[in-house]
Amino acid sequence: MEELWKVYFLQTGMGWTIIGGIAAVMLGGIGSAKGIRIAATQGAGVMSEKPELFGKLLVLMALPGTQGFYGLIVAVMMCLQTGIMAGEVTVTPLVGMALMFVGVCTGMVLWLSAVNQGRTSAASINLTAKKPEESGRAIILPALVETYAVVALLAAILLILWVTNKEATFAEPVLKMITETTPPAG
Amino acid sequence: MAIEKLKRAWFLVERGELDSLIQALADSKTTHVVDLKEEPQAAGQEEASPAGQLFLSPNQSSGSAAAAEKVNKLSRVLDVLDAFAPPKRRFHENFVNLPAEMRPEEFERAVAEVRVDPLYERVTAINREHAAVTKKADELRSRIDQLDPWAEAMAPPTGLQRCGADLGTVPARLLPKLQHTVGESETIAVHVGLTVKSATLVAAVWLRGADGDGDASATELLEEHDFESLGLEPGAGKIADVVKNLRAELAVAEAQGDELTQQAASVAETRRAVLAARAYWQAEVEQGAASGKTLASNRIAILSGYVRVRELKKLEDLLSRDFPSVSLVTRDPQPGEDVPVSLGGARIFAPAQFLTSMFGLPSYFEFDPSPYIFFTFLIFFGFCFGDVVYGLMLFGLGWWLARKSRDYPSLARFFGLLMWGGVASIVVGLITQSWAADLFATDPVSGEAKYLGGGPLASAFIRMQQKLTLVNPLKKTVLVLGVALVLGMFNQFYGMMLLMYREWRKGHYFAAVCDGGLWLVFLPGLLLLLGSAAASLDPVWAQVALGMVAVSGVGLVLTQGRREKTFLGKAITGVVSLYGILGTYGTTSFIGDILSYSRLLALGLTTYIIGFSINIIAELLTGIPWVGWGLCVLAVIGGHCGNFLISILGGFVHSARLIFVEFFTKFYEGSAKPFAPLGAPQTVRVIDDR
Repeated sequence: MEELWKVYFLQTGMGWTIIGGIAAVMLGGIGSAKGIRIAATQGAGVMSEKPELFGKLLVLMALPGTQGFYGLIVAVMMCLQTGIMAGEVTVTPLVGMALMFVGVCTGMVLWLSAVNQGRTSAASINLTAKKPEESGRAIILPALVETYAVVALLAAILLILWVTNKEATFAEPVLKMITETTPPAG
Repeated sequence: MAIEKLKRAWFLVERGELDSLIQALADSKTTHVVDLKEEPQAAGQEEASPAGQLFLSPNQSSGSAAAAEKVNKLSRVLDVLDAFAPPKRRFHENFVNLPAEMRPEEFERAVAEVRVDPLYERVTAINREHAAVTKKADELRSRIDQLDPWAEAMAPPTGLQRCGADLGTVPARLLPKLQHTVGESETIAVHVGLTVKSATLVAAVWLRGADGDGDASATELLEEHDFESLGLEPGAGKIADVVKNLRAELAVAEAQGDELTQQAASVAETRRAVLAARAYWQAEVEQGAASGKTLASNRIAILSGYVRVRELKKLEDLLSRDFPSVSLVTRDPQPGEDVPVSLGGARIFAPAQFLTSMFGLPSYFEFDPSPYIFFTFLIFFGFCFGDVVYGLMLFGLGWWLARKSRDYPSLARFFGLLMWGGVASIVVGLITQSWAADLFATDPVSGEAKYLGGGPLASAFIRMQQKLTLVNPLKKTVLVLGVALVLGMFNQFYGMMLLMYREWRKGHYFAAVCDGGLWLVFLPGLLLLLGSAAASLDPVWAQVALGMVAVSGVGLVLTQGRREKTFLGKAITGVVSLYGILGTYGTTSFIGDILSYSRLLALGLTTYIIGFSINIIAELLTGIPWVGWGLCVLAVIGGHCGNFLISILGGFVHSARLIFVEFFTKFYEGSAKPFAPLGAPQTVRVIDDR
């Protein structure tokens, strides 16, 4: 166990990165599943009365599924940029920890936006049930909520690129600051 | 591909001929009837509309209420029959609802034979009795479950005068407290029996007292300890005997339920006849409703509607042959009218009309976006579902289902879209070297086929694969992500061009330039500016980009708020429009829209990686002695079929979403009602070969 900790979390940042990637996928996926459940439950109720609306409701029910994909994109980007995917890990523990925070925070935004998008989709499904000809406009409302998942994805991609940029010295000033401010032992 | 040309038509008919005319129009399926009473008689329209010139009193629909009641009753009958004996479906009917098909003779016989009221009474009686029997059986089961654990106990005896007694259970955790309380009382005693699942059987006996108040105090004491009486009649004997009697009652109730189900199933054999009768009465309702949409005096009636130009001749022939006294007046639809829409045109783009209909039909005075989304949808779908083997399967399935449903245009369009989606998947699969994921791929070390192959044929196949491959998304993920985003960017520009086209067609040239053209300069300029800074391009490019952004930015600030009334409103809207909350588009909306296309990579990778995992699992199974290869084949076929079905759903929904949310919102509002000719088939399709 100690060896595992040393290899994955002290000598390299692979463990931290993987935690970040998993957090992004997990939180985004859970949020999407929950959002789709909210929308699909409403959709099922409407379709029990108006089955002919299935086509119009399908996209509305699937809208909150986007955040799960965004989580996957974040995880793939992390694994790519840190060399995990190619089997050549290049990530330092400090960069790994930064990526972990990126993954966790992005995942939280994805989760909450998916759940809220599910609720808005449910409202749009009601609108479509009452006025099927307004289904086009109804799609726009939940899409507005998704804006913030997109912002989180964009921020995550940029941060991953900046943090893992080998030419940049992201970790060095921090390390320097830590070594300078830490009093010598004894 | 276009919106079919329609004519607004008015039929001036003698009052006595109105019902016959409506019947003839229903049979000809040419006319979308509009409600003249709901049409506003706007100033200036009187001249255009004959209805406006004749101030006629509304006509009352006749007979439609009775027909509607019959439709309701038959729908209820079908609901009950479906619950008792679900209809058997053919394979493709599991995916889509198709109208029942029947010959005219069968339809007419069914309509003549089905007696709505007796049938409704019989079926509702069966349903009512079945519900009562089911309820009774549920209560009996519940009672049996309650008593069964205490089968060896006895019900309280009869003939107690001065004592009360009851048998019941208390939670085991409260038993010591009950015993303690009872121990301190002189009027009540308990006997403790078995404990089953944290409930203990307790027999309680108490003195009633002279005025019977002992019953109340004993009940109160027992309830304080959560005593639940088993509710047994005094003298009922051993509980096992009570349970035995209950089981016998349950068997009778279940037999009655089965008998009623059998009766319902025998009625369900006439389901097709019921469907036919309902379709017949539904048509009566519609015709009655059409009658109610007219304006009429005692002698003359006016019916109005829309007719497809291509069917106008057919309608005129019908009228001159069968209704020579009817006058038909037609003109082109006018802006401001709520004109129904029928999509027609070139067959090649017909599958994309399924998507347009899903979102909402275009206004009659706009253009049909179907041809403009056909290829982009296929590209998106191919990205999400790019695999040669899956594409071939989808092409075959789509082609077969489209043939099966060719008499149902909307279904045929959907399956046609899947068929073309299969072609797109094949193309993307070829350039990304995805053949059932990596089932036919080469081993990177040996260069030999990874799973299948060996020999000259396999080598030739591998060479062919490698020649066609442009990129492997697993190895060049960032590149493919970039391609997806660039694709998204161009699709957004394409949407803005269509916005310009829409405004230009209407003659709104200023709006076309301001709401579309300026964005088409501003956004590429912004991208070029960022790109020149990031990639250290020649400074000339930065100058050009800066010029583009500055000129178009000023233009946008000055024009995006032009519809606001106050100067402040115009200024705020103009400035904020660059950000994206107000105005026709915006920088943040543009970035958000483009990033949304990253799902193309995610879905494509998901399709590939699931297939990849299936292949690994299947290979591992070959190690099992005797049955290994059999299991491997099953895993490959079952796993890839499962992945195929799941990935189609994801690919279709998310490609459609990119069209609806990111693309249509730029230029398209689908809110027209469909052209629905009177008498068009709904739940039953009568096939008349004559």
